[in-house]
Amino acid sequence: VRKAARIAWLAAVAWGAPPAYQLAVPKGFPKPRIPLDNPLTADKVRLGRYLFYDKRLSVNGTTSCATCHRQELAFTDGRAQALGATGQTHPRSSMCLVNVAYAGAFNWSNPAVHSLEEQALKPMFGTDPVELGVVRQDLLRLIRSDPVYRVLFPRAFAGEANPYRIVNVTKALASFERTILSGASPYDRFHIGGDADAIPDASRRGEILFFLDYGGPACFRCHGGFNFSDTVDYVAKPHRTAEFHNTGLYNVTGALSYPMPNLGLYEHTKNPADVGKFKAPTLRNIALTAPYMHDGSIATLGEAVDHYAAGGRTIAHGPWAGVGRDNPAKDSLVHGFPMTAQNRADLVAFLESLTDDGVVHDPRFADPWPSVRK
Amino acid sequence: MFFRGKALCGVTRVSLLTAVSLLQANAGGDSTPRLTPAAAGPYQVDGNRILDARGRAYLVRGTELPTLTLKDSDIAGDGKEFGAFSPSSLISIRQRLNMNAVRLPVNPLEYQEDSAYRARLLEVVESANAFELLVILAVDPDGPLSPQTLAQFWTRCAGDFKHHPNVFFAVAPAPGMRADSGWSLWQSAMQALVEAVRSGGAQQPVLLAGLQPDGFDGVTPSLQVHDRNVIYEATPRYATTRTDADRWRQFGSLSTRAPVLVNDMDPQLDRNSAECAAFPGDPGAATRLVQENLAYFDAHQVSWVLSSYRPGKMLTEYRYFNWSKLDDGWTCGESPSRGGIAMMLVAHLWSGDPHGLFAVNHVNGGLVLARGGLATAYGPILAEREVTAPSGRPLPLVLGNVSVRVTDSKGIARLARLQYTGAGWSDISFVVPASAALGPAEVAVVRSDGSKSAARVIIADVSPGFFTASFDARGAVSGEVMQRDVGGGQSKSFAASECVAGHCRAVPIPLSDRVTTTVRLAASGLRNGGSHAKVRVTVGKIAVPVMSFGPADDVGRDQVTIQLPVELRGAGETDLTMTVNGALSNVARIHCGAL
Repeated sequence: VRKAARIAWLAAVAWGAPPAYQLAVPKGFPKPRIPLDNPLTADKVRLGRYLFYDKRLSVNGTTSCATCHRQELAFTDGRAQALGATGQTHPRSSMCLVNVAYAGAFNWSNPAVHSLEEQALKPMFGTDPVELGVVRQDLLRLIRSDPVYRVLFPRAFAGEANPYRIVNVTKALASFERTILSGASPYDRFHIGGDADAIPDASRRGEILFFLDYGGPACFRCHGGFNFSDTVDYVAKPHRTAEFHNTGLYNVTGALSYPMPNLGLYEHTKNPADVGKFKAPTLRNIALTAPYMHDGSIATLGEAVDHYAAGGRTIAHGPWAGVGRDNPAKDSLVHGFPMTAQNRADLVAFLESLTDDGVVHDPRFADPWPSVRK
Repeated sequence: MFFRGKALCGVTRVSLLTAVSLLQANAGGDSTPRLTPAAAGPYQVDGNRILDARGRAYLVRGTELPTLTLKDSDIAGDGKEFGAFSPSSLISIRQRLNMNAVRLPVNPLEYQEDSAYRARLLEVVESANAFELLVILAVDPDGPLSPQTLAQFWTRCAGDFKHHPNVFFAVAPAPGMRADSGWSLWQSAMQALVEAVRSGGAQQPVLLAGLQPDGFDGVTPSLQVHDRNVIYEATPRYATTRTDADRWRQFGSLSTRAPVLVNDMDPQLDRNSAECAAFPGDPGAATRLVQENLAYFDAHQVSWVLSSYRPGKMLTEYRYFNWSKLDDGWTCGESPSRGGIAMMLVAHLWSGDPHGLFAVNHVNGGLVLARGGLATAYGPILAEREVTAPSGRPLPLVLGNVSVRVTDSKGIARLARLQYTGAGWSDISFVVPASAALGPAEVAVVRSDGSKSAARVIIADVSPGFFTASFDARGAVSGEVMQRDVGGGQSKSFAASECVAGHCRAVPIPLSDRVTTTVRLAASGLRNGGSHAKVRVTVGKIAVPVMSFGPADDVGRDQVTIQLPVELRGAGETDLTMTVNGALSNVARIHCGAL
């Protein structure tokens, strides 16, 4: 390691430091926290983008990161539950990668993963369920032999004697994912830009409801701040916070009130009070990321609003029957609120105003392989 | 603290000039906030304008009260709510709505037959006038009346109020005669009613309702009523008033040659009515239609008395005066309805955005903030969490992720000291910078993300108000009662109000000729009145001695200490009001008991 570091230092001295990536932090956003051991560089971001879209990373060449994180769907997949390369269904829904640079937690309920680099290992090598099903040797062989990677890896990790390493794959993937920033929605133009006409009347009415406390919906209590999530991290933040909430989605009979295997934070803490607690994801681009909730069990934004207005979901029949409103672990912030049809439509209109068309059409985030193949 | 003596009762020149400048007519059409001019009769019609006693153009900006009744609760409240004609209601119309008039329907038969009813009307009129409101006396539209009975009523009523310069007479039952009556009949009927008023000796302006549903479409100068002091009253309907052409036809054209007042225009969302059916079903479209009407009234100098000050119309109840709005949507005929146009009227009269920030005087809820006084901004504060400034230290300039910037009439921006901020769509309390220049100002909530929301206010030297136990500028006053035996013996003190389980009440203060009772009232907005400030405090209708007044601390809290005279013994819970150099406070409640 010492030798590699010395080589890297010598390389930097000899050829200059690799060009840093100019991250376009949206106006009003704080500076994201970038790991000291993985500074953002243009070459790493570029490499990460190729890796992100490369189906050869999967066990059978069918699936890439982008399969479950599609740009046009704000880097989700439109499915209730993700599907792995081998056809195995993931118990949970694909998470949105937009603004993942600010994530205070990287999974629906796992507080133990602390970086995107660390998180990337799970879909690559996880077996329960299989997501990409990467075979380590196959992957190393690929990145050493592919003509594109033979150019990109040495540039991204200049000075390293052997840049073709798994740790560099995860660093590159993480670097690319950190650049997927979104803060140019119509609501941003209204709120930060001062453009009074950027959003329709309905969204303005919905904004009031969204932020209305004291008996109102108070959605911002869990989905507040610049990223509309209470689980965020950034440079000036004194400490990382990872909040998880039971929203009363279920209340099944038995010792644990949520359907197996999605028990939320409880899976990691074994504390019964943590059953059903999941991360409040960003609401940016939420109109593109249906279906909703950790298991995709709510189809539309309107139904999601209904769920919160009722203070929890009631399932009348079937194996998951129960009154979610009465879930013993439910967060008191999910208190229900009176809602008219107009309120419902306005809240949905507000959520729709958080859609940033730019991020889903930005060529910097698109699949780079078609241009190579030409 | 300023201790008041007999020689210290003058009004300062600066304060008077400030007050005058704040009372200029609100022509509307720009974003500069103005107080609607206070009622200042006697009035004269000059061409198409109404001129007040000083010759200033006056535009009526008001709403209608319910028909006058003899129910005690309509004035005194019922213990839970304030009455429709209570001082708390009237001061809210003046301060919180920034209106300057009320239309008050009267039952003519009851008026003729019942002296108590006449006394009640006099009481309400004088109360409204004391709160700077013009009163337009009208007839209850539900009472069928013969022309003769109507004329007799107006002659008597006019005689009774001929010495009240801030009273107008709306002589014809709204919404007016049907169009098929024809203009000639209309002219003779109206002429008779005007003459009935004049025969009573009253010279104040008389309002004449047009024809339904076309207003004054087709009226010609030769058909106008012959009297110097008449105002033409149109009652447009949403079904037929959608465009400027409609407005011009019904009343706009007439407004170029005679003063015009538009009446009612309530969308009647609480009824299965044609008006509700004609009202745009989308809140945004409905808002735009109402705003277009208001803009037209401003541009054409048309007076208005819109909607009605009662639950289901302008407000949801009389306790908290929550204004009706269109945001929640509505179903015609669904009652109780929260739908209505009040929030739009507030926004218009405050030069604000109905979905934006409003900054108000913390203690009286009005548009005028006092230098060095406490204020509160409501709306998109969007702080991430509630924060209260730590005690024992200077108030901070940033609380949570927000600050408040006050930009005065000279363009100088200062950050305000902050007491508290709520989270989300909420409120933030701050101290108005003492060095802010007088006049129109902007209060902006500025957040750490660079965004801001702004409201427009007026800054004055004084804008007084009492703190109340419920912290909403209404109800039981906050204060400390001190009682001392006349002989100089024992003394005791206790709070003037108490709250139990969220319900606050005025604590009975046992008055007797054996004790001297003073009350140190918590207040704000009066510290800059000067040592010569004219401070007048009334309990019920009795002006009480003011012992001292002035700052109570350095963060916006003031105090006024009064003495309660023994003649108030047994008065019960009653209204407490104050003026400082002529500026009105809110109305609070104090309980005068008996030993």
